[in-house]
Amino acid sequence: MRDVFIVGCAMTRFGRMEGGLLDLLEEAATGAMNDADIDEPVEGVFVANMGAGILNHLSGVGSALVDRLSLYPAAAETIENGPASGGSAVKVAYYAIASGLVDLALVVGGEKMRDVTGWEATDFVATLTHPQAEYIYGATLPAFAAMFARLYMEKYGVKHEHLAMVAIKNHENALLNPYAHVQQRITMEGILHRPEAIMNNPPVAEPLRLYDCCPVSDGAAAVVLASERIASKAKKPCVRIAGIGQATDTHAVHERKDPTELKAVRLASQKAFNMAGVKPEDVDVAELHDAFTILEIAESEEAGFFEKGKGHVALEKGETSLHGRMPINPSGGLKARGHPVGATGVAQVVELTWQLRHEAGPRQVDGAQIGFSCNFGGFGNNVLCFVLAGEK
Amino acid sequence: MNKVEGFICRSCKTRTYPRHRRCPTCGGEDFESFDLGGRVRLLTFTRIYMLSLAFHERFITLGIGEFEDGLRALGKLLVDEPKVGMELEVVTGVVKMENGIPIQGLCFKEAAGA
Repeated sequence: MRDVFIVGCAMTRFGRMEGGLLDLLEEAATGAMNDADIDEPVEGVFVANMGAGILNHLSGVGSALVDRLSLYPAAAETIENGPASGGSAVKVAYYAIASGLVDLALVVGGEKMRDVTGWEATDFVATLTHPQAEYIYGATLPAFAAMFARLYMEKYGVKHEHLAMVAIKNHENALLNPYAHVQQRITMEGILHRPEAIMNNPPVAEPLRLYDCCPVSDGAAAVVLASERIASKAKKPCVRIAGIGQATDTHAVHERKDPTELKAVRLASQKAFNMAGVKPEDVDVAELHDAFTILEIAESEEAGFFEKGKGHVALEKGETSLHGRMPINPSGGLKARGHPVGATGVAQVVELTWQLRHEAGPRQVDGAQIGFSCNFGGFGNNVLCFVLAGEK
Repeated sequence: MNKVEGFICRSCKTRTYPRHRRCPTCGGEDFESFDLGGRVRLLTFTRIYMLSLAFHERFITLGIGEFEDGLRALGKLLVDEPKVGMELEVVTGVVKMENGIPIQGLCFKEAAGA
């Protein structure tokens, strides 16, 4: 297999955005191609999107984007893998280049979710659940996170305050990220302890409350991937995709042997680390899939950054803060950067690329060389992890 | 009312729910079905306030129940104050109305004598 490099990246601002899905994809893609500034033809376009058919009455998104950008006759695919669509698109583009079939590929992930009501958006995401054993009961993704959190909190002594610490940290980081959806400082008192906290932070699915959940966002992100032949001509420092891991788990969550385990996260992380030849302790910065605050804590353990059941202790000590021992979600994560589902896996790679090129501005993790991302599909039934390495 | 079915692999006797074409334990493809019923222990639960389409209640309560042999299922909780570990009886009932048509599924109610 050939080495694969990230030679350009960009994203739109996340939030409630004007225009259509294709406008967002176009903006991110153009930004990434301008950032790469490489005068060679793009041979493959890989577009990650989960729900344009349902949300925007749009299909054939990959082909439509090629036309917008006049990239014909580039091969084009639309890749749907739930909230892990972005990670899957990066992986498929990696395969194309590593195999030698393609030298230059564009990966774009995007979603336009705010065109529909909150009810419709919740229902759209819930279509990921098992149709007969889960969906018909009204099970939502927050419901599964809540049932997981209830067991996890009891087993490991995680308190509501620990969940709030994840939200507070990620909101602080997002204040340093001009692309983040949520630009709001929050406090423990305001979301948990003051009498009005129940109004500010109502329950969504007990024990999880509003500030334990990511927002519904519009947005797009893009990266340009290249073979070594092309990357050697790049004007900016390149980032190498050093490791990729992917694992699946049961569709119906109740069928998992240990309901406090995210097995697919653990297996995908191990595969990515083994491929890269690095260990969790070598990682300088991580972007984890904190669609719900409990997930950042649990994923930080399954990825191997902390012992099982100790992630909340590390959080409490400030180890996961921007200038801590293991900074997690400097972008603000899904919690505050936002979660346009098809864009997220690509946006995680964009943030790590900025971090490893030392271009992340006020949220830069000092001296970052190795980055890790975890893109979590369904409620953990399809997970992709990446290890990225900064190159000189 | 229609019962909800579980499946027993004829090769390795593993009980599964929902249906798989191949047994997750042995890969076998020959199953016999059985009605999910009896008693479960409540493993975890949640009360959902932000609901999906077609749910017009103020909240719904869902939980995962565990049968004695470890088989589990998600169901609608018909209990006012659920507690992890409580014993529940499995019944079939309406879990959703879809275009005016009742959809049947698993419900968990307080077990008599529990």
